[in-house]
Amino acid sequence: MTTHASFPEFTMIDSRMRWVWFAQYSFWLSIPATGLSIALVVLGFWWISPILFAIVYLGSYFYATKAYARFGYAIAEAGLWIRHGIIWQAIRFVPRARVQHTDVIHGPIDRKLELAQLVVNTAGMQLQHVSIPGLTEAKAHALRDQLLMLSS
Amino acid sequence: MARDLPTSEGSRLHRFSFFFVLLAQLWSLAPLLLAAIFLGRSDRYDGWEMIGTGVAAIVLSAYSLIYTLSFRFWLLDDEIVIKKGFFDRTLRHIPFARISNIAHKQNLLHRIFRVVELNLESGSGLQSEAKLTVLTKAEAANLEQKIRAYHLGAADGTASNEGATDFAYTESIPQNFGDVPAEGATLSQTQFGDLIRLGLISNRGMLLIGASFYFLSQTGLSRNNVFKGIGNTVEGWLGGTHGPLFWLLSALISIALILIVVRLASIVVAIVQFYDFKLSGNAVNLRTESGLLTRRGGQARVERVALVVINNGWLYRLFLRQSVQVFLPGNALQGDSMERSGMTHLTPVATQANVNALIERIFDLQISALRWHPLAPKAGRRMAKKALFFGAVIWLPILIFASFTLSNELLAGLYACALLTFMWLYYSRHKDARASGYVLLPDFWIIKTGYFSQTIQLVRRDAIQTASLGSSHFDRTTAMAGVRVDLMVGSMSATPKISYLEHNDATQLFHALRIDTKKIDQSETARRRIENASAVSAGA
Repeated sequence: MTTHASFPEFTMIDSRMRWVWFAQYSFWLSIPATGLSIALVVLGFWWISPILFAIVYLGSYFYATKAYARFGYAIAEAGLWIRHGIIWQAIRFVPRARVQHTDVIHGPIDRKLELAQLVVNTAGMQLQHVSIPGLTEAKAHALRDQLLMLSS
Repeated sequence: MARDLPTSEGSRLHRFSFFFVLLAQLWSLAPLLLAAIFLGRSDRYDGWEMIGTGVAAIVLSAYSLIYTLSFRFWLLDDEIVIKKGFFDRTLRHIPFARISNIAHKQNLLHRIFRVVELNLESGSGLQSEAKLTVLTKAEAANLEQKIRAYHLGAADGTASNEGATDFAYTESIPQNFGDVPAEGATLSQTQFGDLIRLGLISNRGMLLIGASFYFLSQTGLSRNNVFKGIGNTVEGWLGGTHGPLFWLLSALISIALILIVVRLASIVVAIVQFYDFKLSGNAVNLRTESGLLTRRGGQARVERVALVVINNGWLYRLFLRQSVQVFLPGNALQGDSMERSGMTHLTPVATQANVNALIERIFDLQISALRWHPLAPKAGRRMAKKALFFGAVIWLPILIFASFTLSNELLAGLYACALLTFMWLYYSRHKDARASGYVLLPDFWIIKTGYFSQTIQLVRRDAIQTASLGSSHFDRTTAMAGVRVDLMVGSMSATPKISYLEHNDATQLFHALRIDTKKIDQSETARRRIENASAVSAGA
């Protein structure tokens, strides 16, 4: 078997993504936590509610920090590398010639922080979207061009 | 230097687009609306329906309006750029080289308003690259002409369009487009006896059984009548007693009856689907045809076969047969092979020797001579631990509940069942691990998984879209990892992947799979195109 056993040096994304992810995780976890808290108050165990919310927020912060530390990307001659995941870690490679189209997406929080997300789409069936969040807009476009070899 | 973004206002969709986007939204919600109309109770009309309908109407209208107003597109020399969205703003770049098909949609309403809906497709089979709802005919023609001119330029070898050679490679042309009819010898033909075996091996009868039960319930002969009949017969044999033997015999006869009916139905389905299955062709083109009532089939170039799955489970082995499925871009819909159209099998059922000969003739591969690279030595233990954990999750509540409710004799029987289950899980997972492995060849990555439900996947390396090296927490503590690739074809059950490899093996395999020399050549072509374009602009 031919070996090319080397990984590139991964670039980290903007550190503010930690807070974006924290806001997202804690928001979605707060919904069931609120429901559960109401049930606990009704049942007379109101003192568990603050503990529950503390777990939600601390857990979200911990997970977001870990996710930020783990996420990395690299654009090499042959294509795009992505490293992500905390419990299930993965390194994914998208060959340059497999890029079908690219999206630069700005969500509401992204716009507030002047960030953008580059989504690279392939013609695959299950892993067809690869996204790099936490980029400045200029960086997202530069990466896109670099990936499609539109820069000199 | 990054390429300049479009600075002009760009083009908008047609002024009636709002109406068509709204209609598309309503159409996608049609099942929900129909359910609300038919299942709603008219006697409880209290105004909430009005409020709900009003809110839904406002939300849908707002979405359609925002979608239409925020949509802009720019037609550049070699790509189309689309800007859309209000909350999530998206800027999409689609190189013309990646567009392999332009689909027009023009129903009666479109014709009345003299507009066209355009879908720019890459052919992954899942969704189009871009949907333009809707444009005037002139705008659509202009867009189509520009993309076609770009591809024609590539076909003529015009320097500035060299990157469009990708068009030929995207493999995203519709299934039968461009495939010349296969002429050549009959490579495989299914015998009637084999179809009966196939019916017994593979479970194809459940749908037919469901339909039969519906039919029986409509004709007054319900399931209860059937089972009552069994009960009465057994009662007659035992002289009217209703002891444990009565229940045991009734249950066994009922299960046997259900199994027989399911298998009979399965045989019927196999015959209807694969009657007189014929595969003809040569090493370049293939053609299949089968079916009792309707003859179905397809044709394809051999090089477009992205994935071959050989089914070799224990029932197949018992009958000394195998089944060979093929997956081609364009016919790869979700679900199992029965839902796909076009060519789905190289043979639905054949002896192992015939399958080996077929694979060797078409793909020049000797399956029996392959030397499989094994999983990690501790893979069996890992797989067994996982299976035992999930087994315990299911069995523990049952045993705890039973210990409070059942007599000691029955409880002992249940414990014996649980013990047997765990022993089976332990044994089967070790057996699975020993039987699994992979082989990496220049053109194919071949994966063998499992023992009792064994499949052998032949993945064409040219067709790999992305490669992924993954490890779970337990993988990392035992120095293991897995590799999976994404193709333009396949289904959830046929995703090419292999887990529980030694970490170093997995890393080497990942690096070998991600390198695609053909693609690097294409990247070089793209680079030359950019250099040529720069030279042209510098000269100007």
